Amino acid sequence: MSKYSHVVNVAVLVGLAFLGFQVFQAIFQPDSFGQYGRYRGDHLVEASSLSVLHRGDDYCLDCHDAEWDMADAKHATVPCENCHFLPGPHAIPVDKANSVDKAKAAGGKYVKIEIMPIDRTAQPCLNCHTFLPSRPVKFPQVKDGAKHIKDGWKKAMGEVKINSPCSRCHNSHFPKAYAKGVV
Amino acid sequence: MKRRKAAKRLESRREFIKIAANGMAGMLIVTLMPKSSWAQRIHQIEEMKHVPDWMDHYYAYVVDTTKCIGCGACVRACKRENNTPDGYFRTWVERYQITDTGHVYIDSPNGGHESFPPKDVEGKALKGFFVPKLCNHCRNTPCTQVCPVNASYETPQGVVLVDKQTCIGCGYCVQACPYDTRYIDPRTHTADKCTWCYHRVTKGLAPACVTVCPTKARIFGDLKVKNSQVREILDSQRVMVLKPELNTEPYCFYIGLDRAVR
Repeated sequence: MSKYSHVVNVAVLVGLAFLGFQVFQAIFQPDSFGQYGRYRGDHLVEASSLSVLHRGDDYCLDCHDAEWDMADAKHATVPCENCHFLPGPHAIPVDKANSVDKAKAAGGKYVKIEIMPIDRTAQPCLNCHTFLPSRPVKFPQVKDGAKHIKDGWKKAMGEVKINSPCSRCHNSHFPKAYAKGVV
Repeated sequence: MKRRKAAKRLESRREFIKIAANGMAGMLIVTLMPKSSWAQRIHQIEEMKHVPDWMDHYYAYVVDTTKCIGCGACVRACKRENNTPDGYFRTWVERYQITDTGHVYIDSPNGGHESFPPKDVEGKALKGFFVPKLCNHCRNTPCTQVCPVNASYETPQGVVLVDKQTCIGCGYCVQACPYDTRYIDPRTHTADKCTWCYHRVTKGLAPACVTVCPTKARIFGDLKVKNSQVREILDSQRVMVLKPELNTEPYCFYIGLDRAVR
């Protein structure tokens, strides 16, 4: 036995541990680990490749710019998707449509194949316009729904219908433009 | 012999007190050192270069609490966009009502998902406001520091993400977050949090909550773009962050924050 055997033993052990760690790392560490930092680099690509659901107003305006001439409207800042739900596949390009649908396109780029659902109850309106003390004071709010309808409706029709949706009197796109005969 | 020992001990005690005093003075100097100013931080951000190009952004988020009406559109949009489980929220809205009796009423029924029902309070409500909350995407992130498997990290764009493939669901980060923005997803048993809609912002879109906000109370943008809206606000307006005393350096800023907000 050489007098350095204890050093050799330790060196071999350290070497084995190092080798073992290298093997462990090669098997279990993802390839892209450390590409940008101490994390799996591929996750950045995975996280950014999820599908987008909310398209924003620009997406709707591609086809519906005529309906969207709302420069003066109070509701111009309200995105379409808040009331009209997510833009599902409700229209397809003309060249992909069948002959019956093609006739409906009337020269446009897209054909409507499905009607977009819309919640016509008062709930979408009340989400924003119920009176709450925490809301900004200048924001238009309805303190007493029954009274609001009674006052507005009486002037128009002379009768009270509590459960009528807001859209009976208010145009959702131009809320200040009331239905004919109201106020 | 005994006396010498005592003298030595005395000497060492004196040494100890000296060292302790020096150490304390040093610590005091460190705490009194001026923190980097906003201008310096912006300069550092502008100097950063990231490759590839789609990473060459540095995002920030501004919440204007004076404009928030508590409609809950952001909470609903976030739930749809990110498919978060029922009862768990990546973003939520808190309602504050402060009465003349001195009480501060704070509530957030179902995160503000169905807007807010009127609430009776004792006394007269003096002031009230809504405060939308979300992940603050801090620079000194307490949550990523405690992750034992490097599943939670900061991207070069300043977004804090969780890699669900790596996450073991230990929940350390959920406890570490001082803003309560993380949760363990009951479906995958991994940590989940707001990503500022990373899949949207990398495509040049705003996060879903920003897109649907009807009063534009939520603002998102790139600090590297000189004329971006967030940059203009942070340069010119009075902004605050949540829990500044924790020195987490959040990149989610608030306009019109009240001292009652926790």
